[in-house]
Amino acid sequence: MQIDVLHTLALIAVAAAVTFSLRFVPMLTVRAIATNPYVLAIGKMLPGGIMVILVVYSINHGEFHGAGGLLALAVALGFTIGLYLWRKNVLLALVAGVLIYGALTFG
Amino acid sequence: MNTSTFTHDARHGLRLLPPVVMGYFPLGLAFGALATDAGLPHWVAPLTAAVVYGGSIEFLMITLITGGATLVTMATTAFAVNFRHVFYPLSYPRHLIRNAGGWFYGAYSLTDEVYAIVNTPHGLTNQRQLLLFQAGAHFTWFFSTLIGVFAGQAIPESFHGLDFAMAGLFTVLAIDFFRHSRQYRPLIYAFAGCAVAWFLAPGAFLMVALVIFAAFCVADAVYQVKTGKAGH
Repeated sequence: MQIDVLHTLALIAVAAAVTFSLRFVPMLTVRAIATNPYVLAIGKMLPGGIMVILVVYSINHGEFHGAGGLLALAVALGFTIGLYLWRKNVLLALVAGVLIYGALTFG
Repeated sequence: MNTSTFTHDARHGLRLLPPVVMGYFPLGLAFGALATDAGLPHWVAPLTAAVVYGGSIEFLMITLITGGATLVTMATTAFAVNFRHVFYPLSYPRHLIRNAGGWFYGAYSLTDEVYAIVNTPHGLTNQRQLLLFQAGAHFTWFFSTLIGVFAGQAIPESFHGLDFAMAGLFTVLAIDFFRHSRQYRPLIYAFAGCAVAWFLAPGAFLMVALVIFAAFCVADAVYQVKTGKAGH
Protein backbone atom coordinates (compact mmCIF):
# COMPACT_ATOMS: atom_id res chain seq x y z
CA MET A 1 0.00 0.00 0.00
CA GLN A 2 1.19 3.52 -0.83
CA ILE A 3 0.92 5.82 2.14
CA ASP A 4 2.02 9.41 2.52
CA VAL A 5 5.13 8.95 4.67
CA LEU A 6 5.29 12.53 5.96
CA HIS A 7 1.60 12.60 6.80
CA THR A 8 1.89 9.21 8.55
CA LEU A 9 4.83 10.48 10.62
CA ALA A 10 2.79 13.58 11.49
CA LEU A 11 -0.18 11.41 12.57
CA ILE A 12 2.09 9.31 14.80
CA ALA A 13 3.67 12.48 16.27
CA VAL A 14 0.23 14.01 17.02
CA ALA A 15 -1.04 10.81 18.66
CA ALA A 16 2.15 10.56 20.73
CA ALA A 17 1.99 14.22 21.82
CA VAL A 18 -1.67 14.01 22.88
CA THR A 19 -1.18 10.69 24.69
CA PHE A 20 1.94 11.93 26.49
CA SER A 21 0.23 15.21 27.53
CA LEU A 22 -2.71 13.33 29.02
CA ARG A 23 -0.26 11.35 31.17
CA PHE A 24 2.23 14.10 31.96
CA VAL A 25 0.15 17.20 32.77
CA PRO A 26 -1.92 15.51 35.54
CA MET A 27 1.34 14.12 36.94
CA LEU A 28 2.40 17.69 37.77
CA THR A 29 -0.96 19.03 39.01
CA VAL A 30 -2.43 15.79 40.15
CA ARG A 31 -4.99 17.05 42.71
CA ALA A 32 -6.27 19.86 40.52
CA ILE A 33 -7.09 17.62 37.58
CA ALA A 34 -7.71 14.08 38.77
CA THR A 35 -9.98 15.06 41.68
CA ASN A 36 -11.94 17.77 39.86
CA PRO A 37 -15.65 16.79 40.04
CA TYR A 38 -16.27 17.69 36.39
CA VAL A 39 -13.29 15.65 35.22
CA LEU A 40 -14.41 12.74 37.41
CA ALA A 41 -17.98 12.78 36.09
CA ILE A 42 -16.82 13.04 32.47
CA GLY A 43 -14.19 10.34 32.99
CA LYS A 44 -16.86 7.92 34.19
CA MET A 45 -18.94 8.38 31.04
CA LEU A 46 -16.35 8.60 28.27
CA PRO A 47 -14.78 5.11 27.91
CA GLY A 48 -17.96 3.08 27.32
CA GLY A 49 -19.48 5.48 24.83
CA ILE A 50 -16.20 5.84 22.97
CA MET A 51 -15.93 2.07 22.59
CA VAL A 52 -19.45 2.04 21.10
CA ILE A 53 -18.44 4.77 18.62
CA LEU A 54 -15.31 2.79 17.75
CA VAL A 55 -17.39 -0.33 17.07
CA VAL A 56 -19.58 1.62 14.64
CA TYR A 57 -16.50 3.25 13.11
CA SER A 58 -14.61 0.00 12.59
CA ILE A 59 -17.68 -1.64 11.05
CA ASN A 60 -18.24 1.41 8.84
CA HIS A 61 -14.59 1.62 7.73
CA GLY A 62 -13.78 -2.07 7.81
CA GLU A 63 -13.58 -4.30 4.77
CA PHE A 64 -16.90 -6.03 5.30
CA HIS A 65 -17.89 -5.71 1.69
CA GLY A 66 -21.15 -7.08 0.43
CA ALA A 67 -23.98 -8.89 2.14
CA GLY A 68 -21.81 -11.99 2.70
CA GLY A 69 -19.22 -10.01 4.65
CA LEU A 70 -21.85 -8.29 6.80
CA LEU A 71 -23.59 -11.58 7.53
CA ALA A 72 -20.25 -13.15 8.52
CA LEU A 73 -19.59 -10.09 10.68
CA ALA A 74 -22.94 -10.49 12.45
CA VAL A 75 -22.34 -14.20 13.09
CA ALA A 76 -18.77 -13.63 14.34
CA LEU A 77 -19.91 -10.73 16.57
CA GLY A 78 -22.68 -12.90 18.01
CA PHE A 79 -20.22 -15.68 18.85
CA THR A 80 -17.69 -13.23 20.30
CA ILE A 81 -20.27 -11.52 22.52
CA GLY A 82 -21.76 -14.84 23.67
CA LEU A 83 -18.38 -16.39 24.38
CA TYR A 84 -17.20 -13.28 26.22
CA LEU A 85 -20.30 -13.13 28.44
CA TRP A 86 -19.91 -16.84 29.15
CA ARG A 87 -16.15 -17.13 29.80
CA LYS A 88 -15.28 -13.43 30.54
CA ASN A 89 -12.05 -13.91 28.57
CA VAL A 90 -11.25 -11.14 26.05
CA LEU A 91 -8.54 -13.04 24.19
CA LEU A 92 -10.53 -16.26 23.86
CA ALA A 93 -13.60 -14.39 22.58
CA LEU A 94 -11.54 -12.43 20.05
CA VAL A 95 -9.61 -15.40 18.69
CA ALA A 96 -12.88 -17.30 18.25
CA GLY A 97 -14.42 -14.32 16.43
CA VAL A 98 -11.41 -13.95 14.12
CA LEU A 99 -11.41 -17.67 13.26
CA ILE A 100 -15.18 -17.76 12.66
CA TYR A 101 -15.09 -14.65 10.49
CA GLY A 102 -12.05 -16.00 8.65
CA ALA A 103 -13.74 -19.35 8.02
CA LEU A 104 -16.96 -17.74 6.77
CA THR A 105 -15.19 -15.38 4.37
CA PHE A 106 -12.37 -17.73 3.28
CA GLY A 107 -11.30 -17.42 -0.30
CA MET B 1 18.34 2.40 49.44
CA ASN B 2 20.54 4.83 47.53
CA THR B 3 23.34 2.31 47.69
CA SER B 4 21.41 -0.39 45.82
CA THR B 5 23.15 -1.65 42.70
CA PHE B 6 21.82 -1.66 39.17
CA THR B 7 21.43 -5.44 39.10
CA HIS B 8 19.55 -5.38 42.39
CA ASP B 9 17.20 -2.69 41.10
CA ALA B 10 16.77 -4.46 37.77
CA ARG B 11 15.82 -7.66 39.56
CA HIS B 12 13.29 -5.85 41.75
CA GLY B 13 11.79 -3.92 38.85
CA LEU B 14 11.65 -6.69 36.28
CA ARG B 15 10.18 -9.27 38.68
CA LEU B 16 6.84 -7.42 38.21
CA LEU B 17 6.95 -8.01 34.46
CA PRO B 18 5.41 -11.50 33.88
CA PRO B 19 1.71 -10.47 34.10
CA VAL B 20 2.44 -7.53 31.77
CA VAL B 21 4.17 -9.83 29.28
CA MET B 22 1.19 -12.19 29.31
CA GLY B 23 -1.10 -9.30 28.42
CA TYR B 24 1.20 -7.52 25.98
CA PHE B 25 2.57 -10.41 23.99
CA PRO B 26 -0.68 -11.60 22.33
CA LEU B 27 -1.95 -8.04 21.92
CA GLY B 28 1.32 -6.76 20.43
CA LEU B 29 1.43 -9.75 18.12
CA ALA B 30 -2.12 -8.97 16.98
CA PHE B 31 -1.32 -5.27 16.54
CA GLY B 32 1.74 -5.96 14.38
CA ALA B 33 -0.03 -8.62 12.32
CA LEU B 34 -3.05 -6.36 11.81
CA ALA B 35 -0.82 -3.53 10.54
CA THR B 36 0.86 -5.86 8.05
CA ASP B 37 -2.51 -7.32 7.04
CA ALA B 38 -3.79 -3.78 6.38
CA GLY B 39 -0.89 -3.27 3.99
CA LEU B 40 1.11 -0.75 6.04
CA PRO B 41 4.90 -0.54 5.57
CA HIS B 42 6.81 -2.54 8.16
CA TRP B 43 8.13 0.46 10.07
CA VAL B 44 4.72 1.96 10.95
CA ALA B 45 3.57 -0.43 13.72
CA PRO B 46 6.93 -0.72 15.57
CA LEU B 47 7.39 3.08 15.44
CA THR B 48 3.84 3.58 16.74
CA ALA B 49 4.42 0.97 19.45
CA ALA B 50 7.57 2.76 20.57
CA VAL B 51 6.47 6.41 20.50
CA VAL B 52 2.68 6.39 21.01
CA TYR B 53 2.53 3.34 23.30
CA GLY B 54 -1.14 3.55 24.17
CA GLY B 55 -3.05 0.32 23.44
CA SER B 56 -6.47 0.88 21.85
CA ILE B 57 -5.40 4.09 20.11
CA GLU B 58 -2.66 2.21 18.28
CA PHE B 59 -5.10 -0.34 16.85
CA LEU B 60 -7.28 2.54 15.75
CA MET B 61 -4.33 4.27 14.14
CA ILE B 62 -4.02 1.44 11.63
CA THR B 63 -7.40 2.47 10.21
CA LEU B 64 -6.68 6.18 10.57
CA ILE B 65 -3.33 5.89 8.77
CA THR B 66 -4.61 3.67 5.94
CA GLY B 67 -7.57 6.04 5.54
CA GLY B 68 -5.32 9.11 5.52
CA ALA B 69 -7.12 10.79 8.43
CA THR B 70 -6.52 14.49 9.14
CA LEU B 71 -4.30 15.57 12.03
CA VAL B 72 -7.34 17.11 13.76
CA THR B 73 -9.21 13.79 13.64
CA MET B 74 -6.10 12.07 15.01
CA ALA B 75 -5.77 14.57 17.88
CA THR B 76 -9.49 14.43 18.77
CA THR B 77 -9.49 10.64 18.71
CA ALA B 78 -6.30 10.28 20.74
CA PHE B 79 -7.63 12.76 23.30
CA ALA B 80 -10.98 11.01 23.70
CA VAL B 81 -9.66 7.45 23.69
CA ASN B 82 -6.80 8.22 26.09
CA PHE B 83 -8.68 10.60 28.39
CA ARG B 84 -8.79 7.86 31.05
CA HIS B 85 -5.06 8.40 31.61
CA VAL B 86 -5.60 11.73 33.42
CA PHE B 87 -6.59 9.73 36.51
CA TYR B 88 -3.58 7.45 36.57
CA PRO B 89 -1.01 9.82 38.12
CA LEU B 90 -3.27 10.08 41.20
CA SER B 91 -2.35 6.55 42.26
CA TYR B 92 1.13 6.37 40.76
CA PRO B 93 4.10 6.04 43.16
CA ARG B 94 5.20 9.65 42.60
CA HIS B 95 7.16 9.63 45.87
CA LEU B 96 9.76 7.42 44.16
CA ILE B 97 10.42 9.93 41.37
CA ARG B 98 13.61 11.95 41.91
CA ASN B 99 14.40 13.94 38.76
CA ALA B 100 13.07 15.46 35.53
CA GLY B 101 13.93 12.37 33.52
CA GLY B 102 11.94 10.29 35.99
CA TRP B 103 8.87 12.52 35.64
CA PHE B 104 9.18 12.41 31.88
CA TYR B 105 9.65 8.69 31.34
CA GLY B 106 7.42 7.74 34.28
CA ALA B 107 4.54 9.60 32.64
CA TYR B 108 5.48 8.60 29.09
CA SER B 109 5.23 4.89 29.81
CA LEU B 110 2.28 4.99 32.24
CA THR B 111 -0.04 2.61 30.37
CA ASP B 112 -3.12 0.74 31.59
CA GLU B 113 -1.09 -2.35 32.47
CA VAL B 114 1.68 -0.44 34.25
CA TYR B 115 -0.99 1.47 36.18
CA ALA B 116 -2.65 -1.81 37.19
CA ILE B 117 0.62 -3.27 38.48
CA VAL B 118 1.73 -0.20 40.46
CA ASN B 119 -1.65 -0.32 42.19
CA THR B 120 -0.84 -3.73 43.64
CA PRO B 121 1.62 -4.15 46.54
CA HIS B 122 4.55 -3.79 44.17
CA GLY B 123 7.38 -3.44 46.69
CA LEU B 124 9.31 -0.97 44.51
CA THR B 125 11.58 1.21 46.62
CA ASN B 126 13.29 3.64 44.24
CA GLN B 127 12.98 5.43 40.92
CA ARG B 128 15.36 3.11 39.09
CA GLN B 129 13.35 0.00 39.99
CA LEU B 130 10.11 1.68 38.94
CA LEU B 131 11.48 2.97 35.64
CA LEU B 132 13.22 -0.31 34.80
CA PHE B 133 9.89 -2.06 35.27
CA GLN B 134 8.21 0.50 32.99
CA ALA B 135 10.99 0.23 30.42
CA GLY B 136 10.66 -3.57 30.49
CA ALA B 137 6.94 -3.26 29.77
CA HIS B 138 7.62 -0.71 27.01
CA PHE B 139 10.20 -3.01 25.38
CA THR B 140 7.83 -6.00 25.65
CA TRP B 141 5.15 -4.07 23.75
CA PHE B 142 7.60 -2.93 21.07
CA PHE B 143 9.15 -6.36 20.62
CA SER B 144 5.80 -8.20 20.48
CA THR B 145 4.63 -5.74 17.83
CA LEU B 146 7.80 -6.31 15.82
CA ILE B 147 7.28 -10.09 15.90
CA GLY B 148 3.64 -9.54 14.92
CA VAL B 149 4.64 -7.47 11.87
CA PHE B 150 6.64 -10.37 10.49
CA ALA B 151 4.23 -13.07 11.65
CA GLY B 152 1.54 -11.13 9.77
CA GLN B 153 3.27 -11.96 6.48
CA ALA B 154 2.63 -15.66 7.08
CA ILE B 155 -1.14 -15.11 7.04
CA PRO B 156 -2.53 -16.40 3.72
CA GLU B 157 -4.18 -13.85 1.42
CA SER B 158 -7.43 -15.78 1.43
CA PHE B 159 -7.83 -15.58 5.22
CA HIS B 160 -9.72 -12.39 6.14
CA GLY B 161 -10.27 -13.15 9.83
CA LEU B 162 -8.19 -10.19 11.02
CA ASP B 163 -10.66 -7.80 9.38
CA PHE B 164 -12.92 -8.76 12.26
CA ALA B 165 -10.37 -8.14 15.04
CA MET B 166 -10.97 -4.46 15.58
CA ALA B 167 -14.77 -4.52 15.63
CA GLY B 168 -14.55 -7.54 17.94
CA LEU B 169 -12.03 -5.92 20.30
CA PHE B 170 -14.02 -2.72 20.75
CA THR B 171 -17.29 -4.63 21.18
CA VAL B 172 -15.81 -6.69 23.99
CA LEU B 173 -14.31 -3.59 25.63
CA ALA B 174 -17.68 -1.80 25.43
CA ILE B 175 -19.53 -4.74 27.00
CA ASP B 176 -16.88 -4.94 29.71
CA PHE B 177 -17.31 -1.24 30.53
CA PHE B 178 -21.09 -1.21 30.74
CA ARG B 179 -21.16 -4.48 32.66
CA HIS B 180 -19.18 -2.75 35.41
CA SER B 181 -20.47 0.83 35.26
CA ARG B 182 -24.17 0.01 34.86
CA GLN B 183 -24.61 3.62 33.71
CA TYR B 184 -26.29 3.64 30.33
CA ARG B 185 -26.73 7.34 29.49
CA PRO B 186 -23.36 7.41 27.66
CA LEU B 187 -24.71 4.68 25.39
CA ILE B 188 -27.52 7.01 24.25
CA TYR B 189 -25.07 9.90 23.78
CA ALA B 190 -22.77 7.67 21.74
CA PHE B 191 -25.55 6.50 19.44
CA ALA B 192 -26.72 10.11 19.03
CA GLY B 193 -23.20 11.12 18.00
CA CYS B 194 -22.95 8.16 15.60
CA ALA B 195 -26.32 8.90 14.00
CA VAL B 196 -25.56 12.57 13.37
CA ALA B 197 -22.05 11.83 12.06
CA TRP B 198 -23.26 8.94 9.88
CA PHE B 199 -25.84 11.06 8.05
CA LEU B 200 -24.37 14.55 8.12
CA ALA B 201 -20.60 14.01 8.07
CA PRO B 202 -19.72 10.53 6.80
CA GLY B 203 -16.32 11.80 5.65
CA ALA B 204 -15.39 12.86 9.19
CA PHE B 205 -17.43 10.26 11.02
CA LEU B 206 -15.07 9.54 13.89
CA MET B 207 -14.28 13.14 14.82
CA VAL B 208 -17.88 14.39 14.53
CA ALA B 209 -19.27 11.43 16.50
CA LEU B 210 -16.67 11.85 19.25
CA VAL B 211 -17.18 15.62 19.55
CA ILE B 212 -20.98 15.32 19.76
CA PHE B 213 -20.69 12.47 22.25
CA ALA B 214 -18.18 14.42 24.37
CA ALA B 215 -20.44 17.51 24.31
CA PHE B 216 -23.32 15.43 25.71
CA CYS B 217 -21.02 14.01 28.40
CA VAL B 218 -19.79 17.47 29.40
CA ALA B 219 -23.38 18.77 29.61
CA ASP B 220 -24.33 15.70 31.68
CA ALA B 221 -21.33 16.22 33.98
CA VAL B 222 -22.16 19.89 34.49
CA TYR B 223 -25.75 18.92 35.33
CA GLN B 224 -24.55 16.23 37.77
CA VAL B 225 -22.16 18.57 39.56
CA LYS B 226 -24.60 21.52 39.71
CA THR B 227 -27.41 19.35 41.09
CA GLY B 228 -25.06 17.53 43.46
CA LYS B 229 -25.69 14.18 41.79
CA ALA B 230 -22.04 13.45 41.04
CA GLY B 231 -21.22 10.40 43.12
CA HIS B 232 -18.07 8.42 43.56
